[in-house]
Amino acid sequence: MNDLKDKTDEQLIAAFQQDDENAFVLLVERYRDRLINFVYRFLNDMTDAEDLVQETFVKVYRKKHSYREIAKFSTWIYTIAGNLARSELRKRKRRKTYTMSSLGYEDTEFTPVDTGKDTEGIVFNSYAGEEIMKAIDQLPEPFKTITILRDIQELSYEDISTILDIPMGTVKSRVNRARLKLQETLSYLRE
Amino acid sequence: MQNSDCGFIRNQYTEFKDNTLTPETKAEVDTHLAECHACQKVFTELDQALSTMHSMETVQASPNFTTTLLSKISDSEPAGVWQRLYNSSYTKVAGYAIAAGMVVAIGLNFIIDPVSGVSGGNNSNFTIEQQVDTNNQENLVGASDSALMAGNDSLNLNSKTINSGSSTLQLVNGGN
Ligand SMILES: [Zn+2]
Repeated sequence: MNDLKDKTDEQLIAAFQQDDENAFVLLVERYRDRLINFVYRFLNDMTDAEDLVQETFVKVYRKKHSYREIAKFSTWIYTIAGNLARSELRKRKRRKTYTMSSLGYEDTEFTPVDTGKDTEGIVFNSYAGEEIMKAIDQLPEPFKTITILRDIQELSYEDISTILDIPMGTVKSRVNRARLKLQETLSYLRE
Repeated sequence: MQNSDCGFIRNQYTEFKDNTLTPETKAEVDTHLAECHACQKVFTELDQALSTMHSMETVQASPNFTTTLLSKISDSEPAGVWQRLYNSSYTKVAGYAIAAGMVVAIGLNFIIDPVSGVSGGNNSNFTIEQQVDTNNQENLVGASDSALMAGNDSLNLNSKTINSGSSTLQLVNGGN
């Protein structure tokens, strides 16, 4: 197990493919917090986030042979987690549609720190975490994912490029577009 | 303040903050910001939003996360690893029950269809094995499921080829 600790993720998954279950446990330890933080920002619920990350690892366990050495392990596992999170969000949205009639932004009651609106743009009240989370929640994909990875988890462009399997240039331009969208949404929410 | 520039200026926000703009573009942004309140507002609001996001607390897995996960895995281990199944007395009982069911079913088939005799019995036996196989597959498919393939967004990794350095690698989706 000590030996395993020095291995890369890709070496660990390879070992696990050879039925070394200790390698799997190490991967779980390496990724559980990162993934929970990632998924938590989608779902806004710690219990759900933990369940979903467990489901992610169950998939990794069962489908270990579908991982090919081609891609980074991180890309693979974030893909699984991200797809599960989005699928959960879709389920929730459907449930919501059945229980409530079409609710727009109005249904989300958020309390800004202070509703000081300064149209001259000189003085602003800082945003509360909740307010930001509401705005992130409204972001369409792929902006939501990129915002979580870059602006909350503060991953490097390079890591994001690996995780999302898109070129660095695309990551950068997407980060900027996501930020502008977020700012728009925040202004909208404060109006 | 030329409004036509606002879109261009805002597109530079990230690089402006990362300090990766050319000196010319940086000067252009500075000049524009000095005159344009609308862009100033966008930049300041983004600064504030980012600083809040950067200070958001991180969450951690509960202490029993791994234990819970491992027990989930061993509880729901898909069939096929018979040896593993037989290691647990609980599943041993279930295994015997399935085996008994198969024997009864095969027996019944002989009773119900005495005319086709041995060949009928063989067919039936084969069918049962197939059913067991199908169940296993369903378990596996359940594990991969549509979620992995759902959505055509950036995170989706349906079979795709990635060129990584000199080697071309085949990335295969979990739903094989
Ligand atoms: Zn402007």
